[in-house]
This record gives sequence, structure tokens and C-alpha cells, in this order.
Amino acid sequence: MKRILGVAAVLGVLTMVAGTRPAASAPCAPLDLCVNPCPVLIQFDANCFAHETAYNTTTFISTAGSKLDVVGLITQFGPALPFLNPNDPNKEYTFRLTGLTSQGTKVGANGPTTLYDCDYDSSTVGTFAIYEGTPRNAPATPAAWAANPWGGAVVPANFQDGTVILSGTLCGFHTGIAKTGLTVSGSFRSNYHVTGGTLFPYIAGTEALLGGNWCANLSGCHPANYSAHPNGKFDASNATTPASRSTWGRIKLIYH
Amino acid sequence: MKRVALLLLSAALLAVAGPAFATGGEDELLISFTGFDYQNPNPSGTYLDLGEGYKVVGFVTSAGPIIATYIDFTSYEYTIYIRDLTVNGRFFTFPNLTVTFANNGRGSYYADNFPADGGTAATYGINPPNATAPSTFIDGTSDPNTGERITGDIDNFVLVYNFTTNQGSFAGNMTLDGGPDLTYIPVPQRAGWVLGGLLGPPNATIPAGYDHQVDGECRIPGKTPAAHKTWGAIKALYR
Repeated sequence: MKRILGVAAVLGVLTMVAGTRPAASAPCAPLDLCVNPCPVLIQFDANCFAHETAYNTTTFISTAGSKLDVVGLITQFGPALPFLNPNDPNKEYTFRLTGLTSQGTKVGANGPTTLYDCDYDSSTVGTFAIYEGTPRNAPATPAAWAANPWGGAVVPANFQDGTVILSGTLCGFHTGIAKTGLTVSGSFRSNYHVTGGTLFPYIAGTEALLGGNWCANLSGCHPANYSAHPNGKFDASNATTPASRSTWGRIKLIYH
Repeated sequence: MKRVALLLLSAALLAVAGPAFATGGEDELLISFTGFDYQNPNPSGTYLDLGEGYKVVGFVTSAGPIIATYIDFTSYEYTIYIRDLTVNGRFFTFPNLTVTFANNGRGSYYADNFPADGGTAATYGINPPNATAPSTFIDGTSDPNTGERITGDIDNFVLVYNFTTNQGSFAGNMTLDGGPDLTYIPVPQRAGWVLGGLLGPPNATIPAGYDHQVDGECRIPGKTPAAHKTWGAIKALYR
């Protein structure tokens, strides 16, 4: 009986932790630590672009309330998901970040550099979802991206078809763009927390980093109609413990 | 006379424009990479103090269309090494840091056989430079497809970092000028850029002694559409 109560208590706590993410603008949960440096969980590179509903691509200003979405193709999976092959000709792994609401770009300066910082937490909590779909139907070349603006028949639709293999929430999504003379650079950073998806048991509980390069140069990095080109990764954490499939019988045996 | 003046003005503007950001046509990816950065030499306790050096080691994660045919991730390990960048300007107003670097830094990507084929797995280790970094990121074997594949000169390199948001970025002009795979890059596409996003602590991915996680790209100008014309048609443009 005690065991049953114990299991129920653990499940209850897990449900509460998974179900109650910090409200937007509240501090994010501490990142998980790793015994050794945390490896990559998911990498995305060239075929990833951001779109905002109220953003000036020339001035890098995001208007407060602007909605940010990011879609992309996954190029690598780390050791926690060794059975997924992003180069499988019959499958496509894509992702979408959404529900990110701009708090408005703050412009600052430091020496020769003009800084454009923007938080994307507000009354809503950002979310992410990673999809496994067939066939490969998302844009994968600069020409295909240019031909498929956001809101058309292909983007974001073809990035969110198939099975959701991982999903969860984002916390503290922030972009920083810096302009020094003609040199422009940028980055993005966010916590992510996995709460669902068919591969949830492999990744459950992760509170880890999502981030990377944020190239905001119009005509340099991204097609018109998109606001930036992110290139980065979801990092793994200790919570991403390699798991194995089991039966209910075996699981019940653990508690006998 | 007006035409001549306009032509001279246009030529002058083109000459000073250089490989500037956001001024030309769409550029394209050469390689994407992920890795970690560190200071070397690092005699001062101040982060990237004047005269100190900046380096990045990491792995190539994908290749753009222009060299994708010549990159084989199933047979080789691909790595990058950015070096020879010396701080010549430092501006710090908490929480923001801007660091500028002297020209003539270098950036390269390398191929190595996997250990099963006689290569050495690239290993970060701790407190670089160390026994494995950068050495295992820049080595090759007797296989002619290994070693430094493309290298380039980096100018106008700038790094910024925000110690409150714990993130930053770098960018510089990169002119590809060497390596056996340079032949695959047409001359008009060799003046590109190196860009990177930096994620600092708290960040459990960073090995001890490295400063930031780096995700970046080397980008090059896209192909310029061209059309065949006669001299007569070209001369007609200026009449």
C-alpha cells in the first residue's frame, strides 16, 4: 500500500511540475546540470527562419505585441535520440516555436555599438513542437524559402505536419542584435521544458537551453517576409536519460 | 560629362562598399558550426582585455549547397578553428561589452578520418589550449581528403556580450583564400562573413575553461545572375 501511495505521490508531483510552468515574465526555472558538459539534443542550421507580425527588418525594431514564430528543419539529433535520422529520405524532422509575444525592442548603445534587445515573454507562454512527418515537404533551399513566404500554403503548414514527437514550453526567450558600423551580429536564448510528444519518456523533465545565432540582416540572411535566420540547437541535459521500451508487466514487477 | 561623373561616383561607391552586410543580394551558407570559445593568450584577469587573443574550436554541423557535394559526414569528421584574433578595442558599460579585433584573423574548416579509419576524434578537454584542443580539431591523416580544406582571412571582427542576458554574438568579414577545396568556390563568392551566437553561463554545455557555447555560420555571397550581352548593348547603357 505504501508503495502505491509513494508511486501516486511521485506521479502527482510530476504532474504538477509538468503542468505548471512559470507564468510569462516570471523567473525561469534553473537549468539542469550535467555531470559532464551537456551534449546537443537537436541541431538546426540553414533552413530555419523567424517571422514577426510587427517587425521592421531595416531598423530591427519589434513592436510590443508583435507575434514571433520560428520554423525550421532539423539537421542533427544528439546521443539521447540516436534512433532518429534527420537525413532519412522518407521522413522529415521539423519544428515550430510559437506563442512568443514581443515586449518591444529596447535600443541601447555601448561604445561604437548600437544594441537591439527584445524579450518575447508576456501574457502568454511560448511553446515548441518537434514533428516527424512524411514526405519531406518543407522548403530546403534559399529559392524554396523565397518562393514560400510566411502564411502561404507551405509555411508554416509543412513544418507542423506529421507526429509531434516532442513538445513543451519556452521561458525567457530573448534576442540580442548588435550593429557596429556595418557589422551586424545577433543571438537568441531561451529555456525550454519538454512536457509532451511521443518521445516524451526519453526526454522528460528537461529544463535546458535553446539558443544560437540570430542573423537579422535583410537580404543577407533571410528572404523578405521573414524577420531573421536563427541557427542553433536545443541542448540536452541530465534529464535526457537514454530510455528503453518496456512492458506493463515488467514495470509492475519493479513494485512487487 | 554628367554620365562620366555618375559612372565615377558609382565606381567609387562600389569600391568602398566592400563585402558589407545587408547591402547586396541574398547570401548563402558555406558551413554551419557549433563549438566553444576561449581566450588565448590570456594574461589578464579581465575578459578579452586589450592585446588578448580569441579562439573558437568546434564541429561543422552542415554544409551549404556550394560545397555539400564535397562534404561527406558519413566518412569524415569536420571541424573548425578560428584564431589569430587580437583585441585592439574594448568598450564596457555594464552589462554590455563590445570588443574589436585587429584585422588578419584566420578561420578554417578541417576534415579528419574517424578513429576507426586512423583519424583522431576532436575532443574539447578542459582549460584550452590543452593536449586535445586545438590539436585534434586541426589534424588530418595521410588521406588526401583530410586536413585543412578551406581557410580565410578575417577582418573587422567584432564581439559583443551582455552579462545580464548571458548571451552575445560576433561577426567579421571573411575572405576565403586557401585550402584545396577553395577551387569549388567561384572567385566572386569568396568574400563572405563569419557569424556566431554566444551563450554563456549558466550553461551546462560549456567545458571547464571555455567561455561560451558558440553556434555560427560562414556565409558567402550568392551567385550573381548574369546574362550574355553584346558590347553594343553594354555601350548603349551609357548613351
